[in-house]
Amino acid sequence: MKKDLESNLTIEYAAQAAESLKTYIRSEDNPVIDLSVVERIDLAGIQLLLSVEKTGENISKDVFFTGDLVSSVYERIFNCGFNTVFSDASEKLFKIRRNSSEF
Amino acid sequence: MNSDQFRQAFIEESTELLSSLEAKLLEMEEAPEDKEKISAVFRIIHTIKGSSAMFGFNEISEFTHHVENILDAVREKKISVSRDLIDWTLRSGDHITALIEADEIVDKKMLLAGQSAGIVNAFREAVGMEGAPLPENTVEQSHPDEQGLTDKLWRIKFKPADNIFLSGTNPLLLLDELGEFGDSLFLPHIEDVPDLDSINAEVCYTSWDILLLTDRSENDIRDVFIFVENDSELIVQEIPFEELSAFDGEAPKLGTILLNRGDISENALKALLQKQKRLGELILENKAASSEAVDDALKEQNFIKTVNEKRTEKAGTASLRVSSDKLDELVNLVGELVTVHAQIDRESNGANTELRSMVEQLGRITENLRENTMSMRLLPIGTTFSRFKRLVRDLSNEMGKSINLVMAGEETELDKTVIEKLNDPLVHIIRNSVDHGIETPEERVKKGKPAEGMVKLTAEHAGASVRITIEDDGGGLNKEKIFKKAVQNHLIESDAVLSDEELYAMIFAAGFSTATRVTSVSGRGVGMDVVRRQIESLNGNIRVESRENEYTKIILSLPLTLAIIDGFLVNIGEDSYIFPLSVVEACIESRYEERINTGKKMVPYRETMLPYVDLREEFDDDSQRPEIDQIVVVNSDNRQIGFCVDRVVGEHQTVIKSLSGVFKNADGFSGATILGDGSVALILDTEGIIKRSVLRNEALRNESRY
Repeated sequence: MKKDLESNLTIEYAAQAAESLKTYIRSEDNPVIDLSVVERIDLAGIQLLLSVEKTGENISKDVFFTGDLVSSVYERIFNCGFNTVFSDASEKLFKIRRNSSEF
Repeated sequence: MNSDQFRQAFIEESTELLSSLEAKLLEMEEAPEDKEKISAVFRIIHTIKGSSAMFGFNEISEFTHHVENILDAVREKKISVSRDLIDWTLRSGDHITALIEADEIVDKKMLLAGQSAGIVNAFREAVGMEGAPLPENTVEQSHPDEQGLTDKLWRIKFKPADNIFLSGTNPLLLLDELGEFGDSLFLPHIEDVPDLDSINAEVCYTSWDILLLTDRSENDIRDVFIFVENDSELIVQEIPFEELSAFDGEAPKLGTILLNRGDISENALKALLQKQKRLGELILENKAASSEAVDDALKEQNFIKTVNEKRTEKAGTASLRVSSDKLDELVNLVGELVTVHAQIDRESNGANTELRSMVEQLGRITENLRENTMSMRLLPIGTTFSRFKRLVRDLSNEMGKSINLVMAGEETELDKTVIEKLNDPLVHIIRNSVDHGIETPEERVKKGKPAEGMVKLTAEHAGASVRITIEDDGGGLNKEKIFKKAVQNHLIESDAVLSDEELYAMIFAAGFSTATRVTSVSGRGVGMDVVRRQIESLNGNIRVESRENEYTKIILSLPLTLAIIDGFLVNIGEDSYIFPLSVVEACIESRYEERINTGKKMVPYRETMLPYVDLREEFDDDSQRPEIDQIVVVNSDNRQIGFCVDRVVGEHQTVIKSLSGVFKNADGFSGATILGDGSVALILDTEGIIKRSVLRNEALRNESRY
């Protein structure tokens, strides 16, 4: 089952969201997180998404993100250099990328 | 270059900048929220400040320094873009122009410089900028450290305090602010972000490496972080361009970047370089740096590559300032060369093949040289157009009208001389449109038109000429008024029957004005006749189209160039004539006997009948007509018409010499040129010939009637 996030992925709600995400990832075999409902995101929220990915790695589960991002969220994630961290979010399912392999 | 030449270069540059300042300001007024537009205005003032200080125009640099401060406040959104701001910036631009013009006149310069502080104070007050007023009549020293700043490349390391979120600060907003300073590359470090089991959602785990290319100072960069600097880690380092240019335009090597960033030791790097593998792979294999570090260094390499490419590009497209007198001289010399080539070509006719081929080569080079030289003189007409935005804005303010100036085809190129001489006529026409053409908002609404009027300025190529149309959606010309006025001025009889075109042409008569009132801009009866004369002096023509209560269009047609053209040489009897090659479409042979039998001046051409003018008859040449003559098919003002000549010689590079006063009024000729044998060929103005041929035929018909 897909996980719908709350509309605010910001510092005020980050702790709460972290708990709910933790439970979801543990319980779901193929975790897919829908970002389309997110209307606001800040650095705390972005860190949370990165943390979700790291958690997946630790417990050997592939975590995917999905959903059309609202433009403000898209800009927030893709400004400040996070475009190099997230793989192409225009794809239906996308992942967080740790590093590229080009030299 | 001596110092005088430098100063001259400054004056030229500033004059250009100031004229673009007006355009940019008006753009800014239209889009007050557009940061780029605001920055563009700021940059112009910044550049003038920098170069005026460099060339010793201290009064200007001091004045612009204050204007720059005000504009800086606009960039920082401390002041909003308002009508007052635009007005005062325009006025400041005028003041700078006056200071530049007064350069050599000491008294005037002192007088103007004395006004500077007053202007700055009034400006500040008008836009509500805080700060103590400048003491008037004194001159403040500008700060040398603020002058001549150009783009620098900075490396910034920013690690926010762990608890930065708790203070309510969003580090991303700081980065956004930094990003506005120039081109930037943000490399976030996210390795420290833990998994969900260990994360404290209220802790900041992320840090950044940032590359920034900007003209802002280190202090400006640090100011962004001023409220978080105490708790966060912040390193701001300049990367000197010498370091970058040492790579000859190439981006620095990966190793150099890692070394500079302190991510790898020099020894480790050297040791690795001895192996022949790719450096990135080696570093990872040997764990000399983390894969993230290598990844970031690669991104940095890319960014620097882009920066370097941009710098090279700028240098590559750099232009050279040449005085226009020198260019005119060059054109004259090329003209002479073209003539001399034509003479050599003629004299060497029948000479040995070696000489012939050399002469032909000389011809090709001359032609290239000519084309290049002429293209140097071409300027986009937009340089003139942009001035009119200010004109329309000021005039419509003065008259309480709301008018939008729309421009199209600004990129259309015209000879420099033509553009320069076009300014005054265009000002006259636009003033007329704003004053007489466009109605007041109340009148417009009554007529069911939008309250805002429109003046449209269009330039486009039309064959060998450029067509400039000035159109307004105002009241249009009143035929009745024009007719009455024309009768009153004894231009026509009261029972005359005129076509619309003939009637509208009356407005070009001297002393003709139908305006019922005289304003500061128009209605004095001088204007349109002067405009017509000016346009005609450029070998152009002017006509009017209008519909009452809908529009007025003034259409100017101007030759592309005034100096040298590609011509098409033809003979009639003993004489030579030249068509501008650009209007010539085809040549067809024709037998005189066959033609006259039809009784009409038409020949079959591409499945239609083509009207033609017999130039032999037109010029009253009585010499023996050849059995087969030639019809040159010409495209004139979007219609085809033939011109019958005896013989076609072919293409000819034509240096245009203007006709002296005696022949000035000869319709049908736009100039003359000297041929290789020293004889003179007249350059045909096809429109003029058509006009005079029509008149002549009418006269003949009238004669035969009586």
